[in-house]
Amino acid sequence: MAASYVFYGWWDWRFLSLLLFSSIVDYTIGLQMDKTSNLKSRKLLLFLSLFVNLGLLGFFKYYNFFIDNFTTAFTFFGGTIQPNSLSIILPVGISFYTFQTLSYTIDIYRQKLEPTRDFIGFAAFVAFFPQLVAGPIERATNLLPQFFKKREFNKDEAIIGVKQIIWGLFKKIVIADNCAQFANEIFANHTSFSSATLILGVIYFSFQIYCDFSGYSDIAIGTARLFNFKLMVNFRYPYFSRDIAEFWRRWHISLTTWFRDYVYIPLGGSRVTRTKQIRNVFIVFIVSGFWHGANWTFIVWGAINALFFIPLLLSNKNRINTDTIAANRIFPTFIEIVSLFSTYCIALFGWVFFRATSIKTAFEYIGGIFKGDFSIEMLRLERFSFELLPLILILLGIEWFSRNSEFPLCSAKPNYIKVGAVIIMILVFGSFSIAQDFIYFQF
Amino acid sequence: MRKFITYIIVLVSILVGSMYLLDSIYSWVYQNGAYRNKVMWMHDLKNEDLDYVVFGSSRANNYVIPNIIYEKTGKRGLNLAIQASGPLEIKVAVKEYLKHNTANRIFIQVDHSYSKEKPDRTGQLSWIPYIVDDDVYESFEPYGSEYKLFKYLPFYRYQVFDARLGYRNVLLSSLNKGLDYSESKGYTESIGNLQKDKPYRFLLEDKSNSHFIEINEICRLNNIEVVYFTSPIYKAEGNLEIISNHLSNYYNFSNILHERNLFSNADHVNKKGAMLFTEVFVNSFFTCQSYKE
Repeated sequence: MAASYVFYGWWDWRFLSLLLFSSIVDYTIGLQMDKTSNLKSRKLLLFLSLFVNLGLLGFFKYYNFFIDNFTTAFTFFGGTIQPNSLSIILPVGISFYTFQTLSYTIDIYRQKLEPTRDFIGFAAFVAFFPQLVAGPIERATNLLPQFFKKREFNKDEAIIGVKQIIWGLFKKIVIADNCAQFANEIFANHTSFSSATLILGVIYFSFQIYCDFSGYSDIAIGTARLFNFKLMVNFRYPYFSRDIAEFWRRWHISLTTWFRDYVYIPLGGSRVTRTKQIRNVFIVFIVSGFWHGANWTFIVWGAINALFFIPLLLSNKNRINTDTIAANRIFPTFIEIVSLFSTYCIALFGWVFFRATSIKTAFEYIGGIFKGDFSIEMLRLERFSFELLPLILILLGIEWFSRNSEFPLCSAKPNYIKVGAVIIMILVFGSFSIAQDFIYFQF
Repeated sequence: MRKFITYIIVLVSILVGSMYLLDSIYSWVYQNGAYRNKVMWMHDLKNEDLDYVVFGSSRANNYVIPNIIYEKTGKRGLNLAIQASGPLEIKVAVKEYLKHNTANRIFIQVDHSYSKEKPDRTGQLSWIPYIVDDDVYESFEPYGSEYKLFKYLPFYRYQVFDARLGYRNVLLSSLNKGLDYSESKGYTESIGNLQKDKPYRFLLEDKSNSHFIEINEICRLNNIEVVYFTSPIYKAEGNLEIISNHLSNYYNFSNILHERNLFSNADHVNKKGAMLFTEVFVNSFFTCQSYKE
């Protein structure tokens, strides 16, 4: 707990109070819930937990968004209002640890979990430093009991952990940060580029966001492994998905399963009427989009994914691809290639909204793609050249042949040659001069 | 635990070994590959005995055309000015050139960076691969502990400046995709059209610069004449004149060109401007009427 608080305080010690406050509130509510069997009292305590946690999240993350939109709406109907926006710092990781502590109180309410009486253990669970600032969002049922076991060094887990950290660094420094330089340039100047460049821009962004976030998850999971903690898998090669439903089973798993368990299923999930199913899917995707940030672009991104998901749900095809693609073969079939490609294109379409600074910009960007100017002059300029594509292909090749394992170097064997090759690739191809923050730190 | 520590030691050894190996490869390419910048070219200049050499930043590099000077006067010279060079980088270039070559006269372009003592963040880049040379290192070392790391920590300098000195540059250099300076004698054209014509305002400190004092001393010992000059700017304002308080042989050309079509931007001329300025340069320094030879 002390290590985690030092880690977090290094960023801004003032927000340690927020972390501590959240921990005290949920710890206390957990104990109080256990003391009473009265459903009404338990429900009241659950609402208190939701109110405090979501209230803090709402204030720090969404206050200005709601004020600005309220002002816009009021002005639209002819009223005048003095906006009172505040200059609020978004505490790093607040979206992640809020959901993590909420899972604790909700699981106690559902009687799936016994509350802990060990405050230090609970506070360490909330603030566990490897995953505190950008996930994976752990469940109390998985992570909390691990704090009460005797810590024993596990050589195999530690070796796998080191390799996972190295693989995460490769994804972040080699792929994500290099892609970021190109994607940022192209998105910032999208009106002056050809369709081909804009397509390249969103491809670069798709690998930036994937490798940035999954790279962080790998580093977090690998670091936890050094201490013999097992965190949940957060990404399972999402770009090898055959439909958008499979994509969402492989992308940011800790968040999607959180929404499934704590929002979708309580709303009735798929065991309700068709209309309600559609409503539930929209709610989950839109809330999930909104979780990412206080901007309409994230909401539209969520809605777009819902629109592509609903036809699969209505035709009962949302769970047809639950296995690994081409499980016993080296290469996929033609049909599988088409499915992979079309799913990737849908994801790309959504990423334009996710990356754009406003809805208008996103539509401009998409309009630019369809203006049909496929000249390659712009691509010949050094900063927009194709040089990153071979690196992306190397990443995809490595991932393809490792798609049955958790990550490409996942074994307790030393694998000196493979690990050495990855280290050399980081040294040679890594982007060190232009360091990019992890994208999900802002969420 | 012992096995894990052994594993970590092996990985660290792989990391350190890779850094040594990559440093050797990159350094070899910077010594022997196709020229990707002017410092690489300068490194290969040996036994040159020239009438003049021009040093400075892009405001000398884009201005003086040695081939025109040769046509008009028969004087042999090179333009060794490097983009973004400040006084320190110019001093390093002068020292590097004089290690294996000589010249009768050295021209140094000075302007907004006149007061600058520290290395220029961009100007130093071309020198970073050569920081392992003691002479280069001694010039940079007083200005920050990072230069120690650049010299002694293998491969670190190529990582810190990967966008400019990294694999892209090394690959192109080893594939012989270099720049040919021998034909232009070092002159590089600045392309573009003047867009903003806001006056360029100089705010120089009224004090001497240690690097120019050192250059004067080096040239005095080598019996080389040093001439300082400021090349034209579209609209120059400020206190450029204070340079003449500290540099004895100084010529100010900052306000001699005024036509928009001679400039690629407010402080760089295009090819047409460079040709015109070179004429002025010849008349000022290489003809009997205007300059005592």
